[in-house]
Amino acid sequence: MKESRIASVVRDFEQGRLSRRDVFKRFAALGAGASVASLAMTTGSATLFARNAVARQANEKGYLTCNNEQQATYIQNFNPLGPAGGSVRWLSQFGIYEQLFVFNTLQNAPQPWLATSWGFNDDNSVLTVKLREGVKWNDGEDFNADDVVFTWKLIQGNDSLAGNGARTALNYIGDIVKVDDYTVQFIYNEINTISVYEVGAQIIVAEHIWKDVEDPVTFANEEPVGTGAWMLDRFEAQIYELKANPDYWQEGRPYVAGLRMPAFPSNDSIHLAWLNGEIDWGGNFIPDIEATYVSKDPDHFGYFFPAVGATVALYMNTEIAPFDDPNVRKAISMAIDREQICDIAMYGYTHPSDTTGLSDAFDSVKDEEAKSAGWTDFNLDEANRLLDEAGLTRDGDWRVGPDGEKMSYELNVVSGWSDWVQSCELMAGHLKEVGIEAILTPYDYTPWLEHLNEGNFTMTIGWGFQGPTQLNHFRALMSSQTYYPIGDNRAGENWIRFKDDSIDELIDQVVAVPDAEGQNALFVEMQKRFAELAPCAPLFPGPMWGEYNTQRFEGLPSSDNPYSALSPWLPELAIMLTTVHPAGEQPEGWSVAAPEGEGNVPMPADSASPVASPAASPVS
Amino acid sequence: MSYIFRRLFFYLIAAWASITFNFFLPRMMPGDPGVALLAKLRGQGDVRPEAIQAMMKAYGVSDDPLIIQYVDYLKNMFRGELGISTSWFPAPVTQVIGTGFIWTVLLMSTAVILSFGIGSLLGVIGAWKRGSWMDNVTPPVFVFLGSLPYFWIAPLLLFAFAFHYNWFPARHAYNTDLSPGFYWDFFASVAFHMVLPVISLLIVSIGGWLLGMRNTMITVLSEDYVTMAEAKGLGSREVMFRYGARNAMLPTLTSFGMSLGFLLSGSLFTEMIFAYPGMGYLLINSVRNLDYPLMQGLFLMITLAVLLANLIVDLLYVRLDPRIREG
Amino acid sequence: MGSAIQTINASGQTDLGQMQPTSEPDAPLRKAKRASGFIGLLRQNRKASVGAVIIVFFLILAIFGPYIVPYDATKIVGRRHEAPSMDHWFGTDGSGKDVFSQTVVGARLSIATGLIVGGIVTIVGIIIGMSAGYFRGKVDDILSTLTNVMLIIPGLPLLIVLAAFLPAGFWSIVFVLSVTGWAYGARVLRSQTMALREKDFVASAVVAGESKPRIILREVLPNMMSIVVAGLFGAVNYAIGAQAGLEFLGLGNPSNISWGTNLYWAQNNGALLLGAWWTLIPSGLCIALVAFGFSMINYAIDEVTNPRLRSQRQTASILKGQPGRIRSSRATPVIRDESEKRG
Repeated sequence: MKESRIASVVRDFEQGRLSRRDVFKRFAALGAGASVASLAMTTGSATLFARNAVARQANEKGYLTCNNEQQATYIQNFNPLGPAGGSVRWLSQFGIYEQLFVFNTLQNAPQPWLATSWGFNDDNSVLTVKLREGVKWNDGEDFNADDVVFTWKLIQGNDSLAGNGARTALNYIGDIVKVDDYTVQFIYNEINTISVYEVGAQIIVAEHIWKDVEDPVTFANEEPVGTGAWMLDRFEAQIYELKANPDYWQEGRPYVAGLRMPAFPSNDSIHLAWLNGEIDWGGNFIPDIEATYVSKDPDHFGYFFPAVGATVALYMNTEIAPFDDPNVRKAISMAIDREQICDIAMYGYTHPSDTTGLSDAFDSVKDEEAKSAGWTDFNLDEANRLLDEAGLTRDGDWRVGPDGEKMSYELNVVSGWSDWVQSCELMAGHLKEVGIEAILTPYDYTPWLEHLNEGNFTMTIGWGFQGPTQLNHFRALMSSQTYYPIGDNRAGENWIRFKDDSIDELIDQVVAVPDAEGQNALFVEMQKRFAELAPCAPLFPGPMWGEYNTQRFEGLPSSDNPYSALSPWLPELAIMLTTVHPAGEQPEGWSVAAPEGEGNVPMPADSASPVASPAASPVS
Repeated sequence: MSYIFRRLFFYLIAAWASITFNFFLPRMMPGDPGVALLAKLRGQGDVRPEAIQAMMKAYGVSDDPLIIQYVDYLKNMFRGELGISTSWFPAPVTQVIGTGFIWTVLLMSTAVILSFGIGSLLGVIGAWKRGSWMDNVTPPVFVFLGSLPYFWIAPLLLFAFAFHYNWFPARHAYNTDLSPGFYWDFFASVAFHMVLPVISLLIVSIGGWLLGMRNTMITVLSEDYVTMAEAKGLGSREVMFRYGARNAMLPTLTSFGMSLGFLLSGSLFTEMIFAYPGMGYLLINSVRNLDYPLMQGLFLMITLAVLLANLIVDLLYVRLDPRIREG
Repeated sequence: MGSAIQTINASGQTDLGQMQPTSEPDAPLRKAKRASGFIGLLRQNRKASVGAVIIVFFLILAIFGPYIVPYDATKIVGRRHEAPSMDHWFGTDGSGKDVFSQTVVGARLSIATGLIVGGIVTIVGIIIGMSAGYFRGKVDDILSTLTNVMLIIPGLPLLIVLAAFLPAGFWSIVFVLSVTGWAYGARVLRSQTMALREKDFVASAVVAGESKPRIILREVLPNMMSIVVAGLFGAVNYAIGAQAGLEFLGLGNPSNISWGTNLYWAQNNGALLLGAWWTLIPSGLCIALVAFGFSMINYAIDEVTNPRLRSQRQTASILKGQPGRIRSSRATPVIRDESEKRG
């Protein structure tokens, strides 16, 4: 096999039997290509390019190698409507099937996709969506409003389908109506303008295929028919490949012939593949990435970790004294040296949070006053002072809690997640300085989550909740809508058991505002409230992992060209994969994929459409 | 004959006990499969409880009392229906296990057979050539190699020979550009990908067989009939194998049988480190995700394999050891 | 006597299991005068000495080491991943903690787990195994079935299930390892007890009217000591290795310091990717050395209790002083004591 011949050339070179020129000649003879030879001249490491030549040879079809699932073997399941993770192949959701619009987290704006424009009517009771014309399913059928209506009705009628947006939007939407072949209307029972993002996110499936499916929940959808740029090429237990859709609706795109996804069961096996230059695109946690990855080929290996993922925070159970006192929470927050945590546990990949608790995705809309309330700064003196004032006096090394006992609490963490464990170890050290004992208590993931859902914890580290708008963040942490008392395990978000009336009011108001500006003004009020009450101690915004390798492909986002975050699990992969092109072969007039459309514009309800009676005002 | 029936009866009891234990244990442990399912919905905002209930029902997470679930489980098991996996929904458990079963069997049986063969051979030779440098050096060396923690030495091997020197593939059971089929390149690729994992297993396990065989062999060699055979003038190789090894094999055979039985459950570390498909990974995944049907299916297979191996060893023992036949 | 061997166990790790007894127990029922007794012979045995030296070294390290380490093993004292130097003999790990201190401090938890689990497993094995072997009948049937079922349940999956759901920590691991590890020893002790039960001295004790527990503990057990000790050491090895394995998988408490967690952190901080071999080698080597030490002692116990296994050198040295021309022999030499000759 060619693979082994190249490897033996490498071995000979490493053992001194061949000179570099000989290697070059041998490779030319093997047909490894001029680019390989030129690479030899520039990198000065014949071993490295030889190794990459092995990988390049193996990838003769010109497919892009990427990965986003930790699996040892694949099961052929492309059903995009069941809950994601484990069961559905990753690219099914945004690579094969598509959404009405793609929300770009980094730009904090929606990108029209299968829909060109959308908007609410005057009283926000009807959302009208105009669809793109000329889109085809990959079996040749036309895409139109029938598909959209069918998908939504399917999810509406079948509670066990999760979808990826429709399930929650249907809490507010009563009916979905076809107006004409390219216009659909969503009729709201309960006003909620922010749910437009969930409407846009929902993937659309083909009516002509799915109407004959007996049970959409157990349907494995082995040969998926989607509107996306990719279709099934080859499926094996260890690898599956998608090829470019020749009739894809974006002219000339995609520029890449196909995608290949080999199976990797663990982080360690992926790391080795990265270092070997075998992967082109992915999003893995790699420790000390400059030294481990980038240094192996600085001209081509790179990463992009924008801190636009949900904030990681230290959560305290606010129904347990003394954590019901905002000053105590602020004091604990000020005892934490976030710089040290970001530097050591997170290898400098992120930075400390501010007092809004929001990630960098919302930097442009953060209120100056709200984000600098000061209690996320490292300030031991102030922390000690606040704790003293709260009546938690010291008795020797440790403070005494309101129950008269030493302040000693369990700090929960997931045992396998080393960056979190390390952060918690550091925090325990910080809290010791202010006289509070935090005992690291690791659990496996599911038991850890259960403890939180039940409220059976005192302190824990955990992620926050982030969506296209700031609503998710404030609703999850401060609203009675997500509140369940301790012992009720339905609390999937509000683990800290916190609620605030003014936040509730603000939320009721914001869901009735259709435009971003109006919403942001209300969100500013929520930010201020968060800064005032400090329901938790935000630590750092979550870095969105993303690595790339430009030896074979260029055009993925990077810090030089940050048109999107780089992470492969994001819906934005639809944009990334229709933008990327083979290295050195940039198409004429190349640009980032940005299908045309007007986006969000007010749309008065069409009088000819069979609209239900106007929606009632929000239920209070 | 009654010996066989008694053993068979015992195995049935043990199988039932084991299967029952496998059913109840995960359910007695703290943990709600619903939570594992819920976790997958993270980031989707406010999913209403009715929807969650419906999803859990579709996944087969049941609310029935444990006894009813247990009876259903046994009934289904006898029909060969192992249910639908929740973490690989909607693939049936048999399909999921199928992806890993053949690879684990292939890899581990190769390793065990080679290890047994090489170790026993070295043990026999060592016992025969007592006092030689080989007998003084080899056992301690292999005992030391066997003391190395497997999860420590295997990544070192992988890193050295698959990454640093690029002599062997670093992952998978065969080259991903090939499709499985009955052709030479595929078989060659499978064999090539097995080399490093098998070698890593051999390193830590040969010592055990070697010592066992050697010690038994030495004891056997000092028996009178061996001296008699030598006195009769039989060639040393013949005495070594026909008289010595044959009798020394018996106790080792029991261990070999047990090892074969534990094949299916022993490959976890190998799979994780060498990214080799198999049942070990399925097992730890099913535990992490509280995937009861898959966990039960895997336990069932492993238990049956162990029992079967024990049964075969017992039958073989009866054939090979005439002393038992009398009794 | 049974011999302690290493086999692949459920986790693919080596594990000192035990074979069925192959010959008569040869314990010092009558003490000979010279090179006498079990312990004496053991002391003379080279392999045992090597093993004992290693074990004693690590025991001392575990007990006293944490008091004399140069740095606090939990504190960050340097830059991350510094190579070994005069300041840091084994370099620093991924957070900047001193690896030498971590290795020394880690000995305590690892060896303690080994000894505690080994002790529990041995005691449980003695109780269950000897009761089954001595009392036979119904008692034996029940206990035997229990033992065999535990043997058949796959060990590693059970370990993982238990470890995943109990709160991570030292005592959980001790519990989990004890539950999965007692069956093997119990089975061996059972068959050994059954063999010894038929002996004359037991019969005479019964006739003399000794109570059953007294017979078991005072008559039978002492004659099985070598198997019990071999089993104990085997169990200790199993426990140390399995604990490290569980912690490596992330099922232990990563903020404890033990050899297993040291390896877990080394792996998670990308030791191999960065070429930081000094974070991986020490803890792994320590586990290997301790296991090797116990294995050597077990190897020596085999030789002492089964004189046929004694090395050629020993046999030759015994033969040297004897009349006759025999230089080497596969048969086991029988040496008569001077005092016996006089009758």
